Amino acid sequence: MNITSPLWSLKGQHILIVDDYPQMRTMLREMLVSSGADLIESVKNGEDAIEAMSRQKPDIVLCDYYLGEGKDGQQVLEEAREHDFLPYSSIFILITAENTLSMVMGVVEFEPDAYLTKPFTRDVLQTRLRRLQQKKTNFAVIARAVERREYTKAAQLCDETSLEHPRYRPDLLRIKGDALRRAGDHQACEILYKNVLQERELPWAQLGLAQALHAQQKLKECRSVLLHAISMKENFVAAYDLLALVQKALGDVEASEQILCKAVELSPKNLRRQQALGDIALDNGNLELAEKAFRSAVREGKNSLFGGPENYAGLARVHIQGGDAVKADQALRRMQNNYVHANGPVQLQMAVVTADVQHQLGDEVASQEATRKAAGLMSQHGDSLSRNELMNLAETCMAHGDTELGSSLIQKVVRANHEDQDMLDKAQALFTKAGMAEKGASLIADERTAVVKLNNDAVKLVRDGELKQAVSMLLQAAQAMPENSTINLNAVQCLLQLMKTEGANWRILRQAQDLLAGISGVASGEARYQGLIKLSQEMEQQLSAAA
Amino acid sequence: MMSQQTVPTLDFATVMASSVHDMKNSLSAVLAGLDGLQQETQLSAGNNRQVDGLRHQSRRLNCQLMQMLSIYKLQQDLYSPNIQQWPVDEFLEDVASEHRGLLAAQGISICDHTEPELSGFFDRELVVGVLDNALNNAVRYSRSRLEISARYWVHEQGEGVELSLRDDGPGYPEAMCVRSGQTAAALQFQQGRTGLGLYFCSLVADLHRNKGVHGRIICDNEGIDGGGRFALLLP
Repeated sequence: MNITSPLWSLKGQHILIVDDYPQMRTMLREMLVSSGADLIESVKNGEDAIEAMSRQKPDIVLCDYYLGEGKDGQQVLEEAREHDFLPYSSIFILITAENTLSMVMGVVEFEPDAYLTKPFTRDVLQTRLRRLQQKKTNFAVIARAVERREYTKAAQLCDETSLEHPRYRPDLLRIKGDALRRAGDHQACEILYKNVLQERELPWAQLGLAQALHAQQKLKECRSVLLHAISMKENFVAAYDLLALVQKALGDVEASEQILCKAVELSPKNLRRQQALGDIALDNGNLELAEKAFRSAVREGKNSLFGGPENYAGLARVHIQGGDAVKADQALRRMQNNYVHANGPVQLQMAVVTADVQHQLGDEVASQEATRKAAGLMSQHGDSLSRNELMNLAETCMAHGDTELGSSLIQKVVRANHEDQDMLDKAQALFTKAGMAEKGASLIADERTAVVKLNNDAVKLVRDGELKQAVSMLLQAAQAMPENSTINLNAVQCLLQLMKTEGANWRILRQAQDLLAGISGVASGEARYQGLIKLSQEMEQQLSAAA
Repeated sequence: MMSQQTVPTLDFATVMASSVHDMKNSLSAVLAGLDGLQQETQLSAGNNRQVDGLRHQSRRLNCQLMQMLSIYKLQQDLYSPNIQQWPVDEFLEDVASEHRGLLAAQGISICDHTEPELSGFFDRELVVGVLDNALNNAVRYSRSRLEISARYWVHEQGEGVELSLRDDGPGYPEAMCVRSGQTAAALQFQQGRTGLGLYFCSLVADLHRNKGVHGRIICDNEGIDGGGRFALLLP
């Protein structure tokens, strides 16, 4: 077979070479030039690579895994994807020295398009690039569907392409599973992965199945799938991460901590894993372990965009629990010095942490100052706080005696979670601790009643045939309570119904799908959520067919 | 707890990873240098042969290095096979093209053929290591032809893939033959270099499992005109 076909050339392609070894850079450049490449940029480390990609989105990246100090090749890939520097058509090749590098089996989007093991010849590089470009061309329509969030269409296209090009079947099954997951159709995902697994026990399908089960809250089945996967592949770190979450949700925090310890041992450079370990060790009162994990997270955070102030906050909390006020204060200072220029949401997050830590350190003046700063930032960036952060801030406010701000924060949490008994209990506990048990109980009851009434009013409007009015009422409510599953599901149902009576259109369908995506974390286990997903998919198919 | 030391002890896996990275860069530079020599300068026939010889030795060095690293990592449980589905025609084309230039220089032609749309489930890099090993070996014995091929392997529990390499050399001595019925576990390994290559191949074969069926290797004299045949059977 003629590999270097004269028709094929790299002319006009923006190519980025990332390697810390000068001779390797020269060699790769020469290989590429001999294939007609004329727009090549070479950099020596991950930081420069990210900078180069921010200036010019590359068509091809050849990146060594091992880049000395700083980011490694995998981190460069993840960061580039996170920043959207790599359009679907681009090709990212990770060059490795070892043939047994433990691959980061996990999310499709964090995998490179190919691995190449050194040394390789010019012919091999050319063949690989040519084949990858061919594959990208064949997958382009699917990628476009995913970009437009037409996930049902994307899944269908995967089936069609698979019939036409059987050699791509394994890739297409993975892409299809991913599209179904994004669409929130976890039932269909479960079936897809189970079918694959019947043929052969492949790690990606095991992980996919576990994710689908986790999303549907089938926790015990999920756990047994993961345990089996790990028994087959002991270094399957992505499976450990999910298993730790599942064990925690099942109430076995000790097991969760142990699993994360094992995963960290296997793959110590993953920042989010170190964070998770720090958090759970702190919860379990295992201070030495928590400190070690947060320290690693701080260290790795310097190379990564996932390194936020929460790692310093974690360290500060460890020292508070250990009774070392000086060190806790140092951790806070280091956090503030490192994130002086951070954006609003990060500043807000830091203010919440500072308020809490300073309060625990007994510096009420500093704590109150931080609280005021947080309150100010919340008007702009309030939605960026998780419900745990909100409750944390509320607790600090209550401790300062600022019951007004404290109560309003708790009420916000109650509104978003009016059917979550666990959260309601926590809210009541905060009020009780602040000595306002009765007042708190009535505030909680009022919030609940208000949400229930709003919901009932909307339902009544629907019954009376005032669908449009119901929609606008529920959409407004959904915006105020983006995590409230009842309100959001009702809003979706009304939107879909509206399309049935008035004809389907993309704008309304997108609105419904966005709402579903927003609550997929809290609601995807519910039968009603699954039903609405199916309905929205049918609408999408109708619209695609009509177009 | 670890005792206090002025110079921290590095674990061997870290030492390996770092050294292998450097060694691979050096090997890449050596190979690129040899390519450059042949492309840019008019070498005498004798010098050309010398350069080819050096290239062959570099490739063997690489092959041994990978083999050593793989065995170490597998034994230390630092790695478990990364099984994926691969189109076999493209895979064999890659393996053959990596060796084609060098073989041509020695007057050996290599052809690859597979049944259409055949795909197999295997750890790509480990299987490349096995085939490189077999090819480096076959180069020494074959006269003018090498054939690398793939076909379905029908086993007790379903279908797998058989990858084979046939040469037109004198064949394996009886003591080295591994018949198709033998499982890797039953092989007795002799000490010494040849033994290690065979050990690596059967270790990789054994790590490929499906529904209780383990992979296996065959070394016999079913090659071209009674020459050697090496086959890797992946369930």
